[in-house]
Amino acid sequence: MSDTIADTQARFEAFITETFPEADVAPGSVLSELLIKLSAAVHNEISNDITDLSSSGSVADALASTTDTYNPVIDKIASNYNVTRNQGKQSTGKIRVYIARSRNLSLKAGVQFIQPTLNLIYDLAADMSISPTADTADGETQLFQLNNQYYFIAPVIADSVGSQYQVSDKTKFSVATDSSVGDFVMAEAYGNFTSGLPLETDKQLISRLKSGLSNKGLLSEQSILANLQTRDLSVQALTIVGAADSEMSRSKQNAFGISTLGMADVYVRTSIGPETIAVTKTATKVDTGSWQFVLDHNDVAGFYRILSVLPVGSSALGSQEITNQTFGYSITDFARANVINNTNEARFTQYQTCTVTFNYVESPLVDVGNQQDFTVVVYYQPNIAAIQNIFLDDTERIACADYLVKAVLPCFVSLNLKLFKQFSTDTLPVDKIKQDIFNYINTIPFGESLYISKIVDICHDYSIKRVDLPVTVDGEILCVDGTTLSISSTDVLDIPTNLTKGVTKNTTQFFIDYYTVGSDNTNLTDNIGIEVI
Amino acid sequence: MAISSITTDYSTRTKDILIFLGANPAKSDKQPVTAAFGNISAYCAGVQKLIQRYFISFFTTIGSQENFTDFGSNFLQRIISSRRNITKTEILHIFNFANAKVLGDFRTYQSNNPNLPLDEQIGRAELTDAIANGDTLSLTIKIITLAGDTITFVLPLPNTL
Repeated sequence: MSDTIADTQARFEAFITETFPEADVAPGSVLSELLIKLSAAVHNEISNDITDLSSSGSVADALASTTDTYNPVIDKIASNYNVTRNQGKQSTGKIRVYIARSRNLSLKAGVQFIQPTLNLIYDLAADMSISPTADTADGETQLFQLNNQYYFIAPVIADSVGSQYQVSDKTKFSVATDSSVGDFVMAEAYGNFTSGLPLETDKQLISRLKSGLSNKGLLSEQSILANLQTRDLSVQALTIVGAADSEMSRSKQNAFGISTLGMADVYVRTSIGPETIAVTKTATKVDTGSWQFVLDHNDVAGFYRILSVLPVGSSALGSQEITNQTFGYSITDFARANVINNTNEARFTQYQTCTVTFNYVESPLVDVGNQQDFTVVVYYQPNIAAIQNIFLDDTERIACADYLVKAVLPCFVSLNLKLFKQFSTDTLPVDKIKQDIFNYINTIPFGESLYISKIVDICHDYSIKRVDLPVTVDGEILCVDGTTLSISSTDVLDIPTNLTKGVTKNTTQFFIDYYTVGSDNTNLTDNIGIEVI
Repeated sequence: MAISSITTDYSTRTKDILIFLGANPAKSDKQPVTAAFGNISAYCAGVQKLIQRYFISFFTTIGSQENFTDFGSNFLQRIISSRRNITKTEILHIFNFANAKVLGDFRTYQSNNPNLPLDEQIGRAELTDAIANGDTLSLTIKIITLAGDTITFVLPLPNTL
């Protein structure tokens, strides 16, 4: 732990008081002003440098360090293994900004918005010229009207790198103290933000040393991970199900039910939390008030679930009511495709298709068979198709094997905590506690369980008296057959084994958002609920 | 009354280096003091040390010390940025806010160090007079210690600030 200036100053005062008891070192004394403060400023930097160096001067020291270290010495060691430190990534997203009246508005890039509960700051990503009569072809942004409200969509980027900046759809924002937006009313996230990544720590960098010089062929879990990490695909975790694994069903689809070998399913996680993407789909009217479209790999490969369907350009909130989703698969568009035997095997892969039927009453009414464009927002993991294409590429593939890439099955987690403060006058940094829990749950490796004691442990990093027990953690797993599986625990949340639904510890990972959209598709509820007493 | 009796035994007290020269602890009437080095080295203790600490804290602009940004007050900053013909009432207003900050810091230190002699603990400080004349400003400040000593100083501020 680094010394603060106050720590160093206190150490100097104690030393001088012991060795020269007559010296007055009170604040404002000449000795304090001319000797102690100046010495503390110099020695604090030296002392912390020495602490840093002693904790990460070598690989062994860095691994033994109890705190996260970022020492240049480790960068140099890593360079010998052809590995460089990941500098982190800023989360990006869009926010819907409401203003009180119809007007033109110009905003400079850098205007700051803050998520007040989480205390996370985001910057406007580009200069914007907003107008109710915008010339969008000229780069202007449209100001929409919704009843008596006016809003526009603004791109934002997190103020710093880090995974905690990934917030979910409809998360509320306000304008930061130092910024200004004319007639501002409120703002909310427009879809989930992309995953951010923190600056890689020495321990994380060291853990990748072995991948630096390792084989990067598309064969083993280690070599595949090493290969994908050299590309900008944001692979967070990866696991392979192959021969003799109980989860492998594709290789047993024959008359004898015997594994034919040569097949592997690669489950990848390419974002910290689930991301969203908006695609434009042309839907066809199939009945009075009923419309339909098909989502496939051209739109979004291997998506999880549909968040909303709205007419293009609509200023409405929420979504049209989705009445039916029928999943299927198609391999006809591909010059080379994996072996797919049924819909369940294709779920969360690039071969997945989904026929979506939803209610929509158009105005003016049109005949059945007419078409209209809709904006469809879906939860998904990015880069599923790109990764699959690497495994199918002529120059990279293993010719005798069939590697099918799937988005990891998500287990969406929610929990509620009741914390008791140490002293009634304490102010608990609830935002930091939420961020720490968010980072813990979203980075649990494949095969590991979610330990409630670890969450309690995170809370005890802050000035609390106790955590009210039991703490119940709920999970909802999205299965390959389109159903969900609910799990709950007050001790250890384990991923169950249900092979018919494709759920095992090798195929499923925990995800948590700060908030979730309620059944009304408008209001938010806390996924990480914290009550402070 | 005078700062203290010159017969007080300061031998057991902690000492600071004296930089506010000119003050005679035996005199009870107003006397100007100025901060300077270069004279014969001297220690100070007791109420003289307290006054010196008060002035250093009071006239250090808050935020001016890179690593100790909460130390000091905003008195000088506010005075320098004020209009040229500042009135006594305006000076008093600025003084009161700055004085409250310094007194708060001192009382925190005093409560953390309960063994300090009473004449080295500040009770309160008041601005009894202020004379603004062109580029110069002269403050008359009365400090009352917890021992009951009342000391009045005239502090002239030169126009080179």
